[in-house]
Amino acid sequence: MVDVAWQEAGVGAQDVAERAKVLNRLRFGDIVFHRITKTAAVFVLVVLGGVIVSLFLGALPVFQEFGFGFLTTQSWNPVTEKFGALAPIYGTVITSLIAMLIAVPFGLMIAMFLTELCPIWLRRPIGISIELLAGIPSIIYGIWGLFVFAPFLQQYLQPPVIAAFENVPVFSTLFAGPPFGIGILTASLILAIMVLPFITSISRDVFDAVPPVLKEAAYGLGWTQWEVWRYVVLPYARIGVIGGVMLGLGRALGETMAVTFVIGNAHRISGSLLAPGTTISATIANEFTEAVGDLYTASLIALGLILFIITFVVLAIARYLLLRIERRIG
Amino acid sequence: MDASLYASRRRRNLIAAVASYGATFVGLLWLALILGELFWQGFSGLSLRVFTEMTPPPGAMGGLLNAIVGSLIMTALALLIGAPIGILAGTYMAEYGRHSRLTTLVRFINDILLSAPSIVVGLFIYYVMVRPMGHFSGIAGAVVLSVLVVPVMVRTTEDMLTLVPDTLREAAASIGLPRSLMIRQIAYRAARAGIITGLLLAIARITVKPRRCCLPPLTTNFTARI
Repeated sequence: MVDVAWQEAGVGAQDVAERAKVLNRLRFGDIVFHRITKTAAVFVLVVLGGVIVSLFLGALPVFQEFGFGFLTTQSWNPVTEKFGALAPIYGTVITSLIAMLIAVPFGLMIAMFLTELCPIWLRRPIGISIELLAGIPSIIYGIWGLFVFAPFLQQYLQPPVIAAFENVPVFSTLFAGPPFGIGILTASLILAIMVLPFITSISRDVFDAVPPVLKEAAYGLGWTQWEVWRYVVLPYARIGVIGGVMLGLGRALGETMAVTFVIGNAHRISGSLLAPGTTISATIANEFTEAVGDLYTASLIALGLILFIITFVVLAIARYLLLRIERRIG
Repeated sequence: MDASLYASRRRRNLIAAVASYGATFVGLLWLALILGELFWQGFSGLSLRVFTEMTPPPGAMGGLLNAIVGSLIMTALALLIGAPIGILAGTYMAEYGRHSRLTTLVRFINDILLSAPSIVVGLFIYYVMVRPMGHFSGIAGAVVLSVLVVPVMVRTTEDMLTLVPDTLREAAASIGLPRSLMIRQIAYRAARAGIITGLLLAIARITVKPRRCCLPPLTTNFTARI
C-alpha cells in the first residue's frame, strides 16, 4: 500500500530501493541486538552457575567426612579437625534478620520523605548523602563499629537495657550477660546502617517512576499524603521495592569485613543478643588464609555453600510471598 | 462521625510525616557520625606523600600509591567487563524474554549471587582462570570483581526497565521504530537514572572489597601490573 502511494507521489524506484536497504539494516540490527542481549543473559547464567558448581566441588570432601552432622554440630575445632556449621548459620540468619527489621522501615520512610515531603531543592543533597553511606568501605564500618560504636554501646546503652529487662521473661534471655559492646546486636545495627542506602535509593527511584497521574487522581479524591503513598505509590512500586530489599538482604547475608570486626568471632550459640557470635562470611574471611589442611579449607568452602542455600531458601520464600500478593490483587 | 474520621486520617498522616522526617534525620546522623570520625582521625595521617609514593618497607616513610592506583585500575577494569554484560542481560530479561523460562532462571540465580561473599567468586575464578594460567594476576582479580558487578547490574537494569511505562513502548512501535532502537533510544533513556544508581551500587560493592577476600596472594605490594 505504502509503496504504491510512494510511486504515485512520483518517488523513483531508486528511493524505494534505498528505503528497502534502510529497512533491512534496521531489521538486521534488531536481530543482532536481540541475539546479543540473549547471549549476555545465557552468559550470566553460565558464569553464575559455574560459581555454584565450583562451590559444590570444593565442599564435597566435608560432606563425605561429616555427612549432615556438619549442619547440626556447634563445635569448630581446627586442631582435631572437627567442624560444625551451626553457630555461623545461626549468626548469619539472626544478624541479617534484625538488620532488615530495622533497615526496611527506615529505608522506606526515607524514600517516602525524599519523594513526597522533601522540598525539591533539598532532595538531591539528602539523596546523595544517603547514597554516600553505601560508598563507605565496609572496613571503615568495621573500624568505626569496633572503636567508636561498640564502646558507646557498652558504656551507655547496654547496661540500662540489661537492667531494664532483667525480670521480663523472654527479654531477660535476649538481653542477658555482661555488656561486651561487640556481639550479635552490634553487628546487626552496623548491618542495618550499611543496608539502608540500598533500600532507600532503589525505593526512591521506583517511587519516582510512579506516574504522577495516579497520584494526582488520588489527591483529587481528597486522600492524604500518607494514604496516597501507602495505597497508590507503594503498591505500584512493590516489585521494585522488594528488589531493593533483596539487594539489601543479599548484602546483609554476605557482608564480611564490618561484621568480622564487631561480632566477636565466637563459635558458639547464645540466647543473648549481646553475646559474641560469628557469621558464615566472617568465619571464611577470618580463617581462609590461615586454613591449613584440605579438610579445614573444604569446611570453609562448605560454609560458603551453606550461605548459598540459605539465600536460596530466603529467596524462595520471598518469591512465594510476592506471588500471593500478586494473586490477591489479581 | 465524619469529623472524627477526618481527624484520625489527618493524625495518621501527621504520624507518617514525622516518622519520615525522623528516619531521614537518623540516616543522616549516622553518616555525619561516621564521616566525622573518619575525617577527624584520618586527616592527621593524610599528606601528599600518601598519594605519590609506594608502600614503604617497615620503618621507612612512604605512601599508598600502589594501593590507590591498583584499586582504581581494578575497579575500572571490572566495570568495563561486568557492567555491559549485566546491562545487556537485564535488557533481555525486561524487554525480550519478560516471561520466558530463561529469565526466571537467570533472575533466581542472580538473586542468590547477590549475596555471595567475594571469596566464593574468587574460588570459581581460581578454578577456571588461575589454575589454567598457572599464576595469580591482576586480570584474574578484575574478573572476580566483574563477576561481583554483574548481579547488581542485572537486577537494577531489569527492575528499572520493567518500570518504564508500556505506553512509551507502544508509542514507539506505532511510529514504526524497530524494537532494538526503541530499547536503546527510549527505554534506556527513561530508565537511565535507575541504571546509573545500579552502577554506583556496583562500584560501592567492589571498591569496598579488601583484596584479601578475593584471592589471597593478590595482596602484593606493587602497582598492579596487568
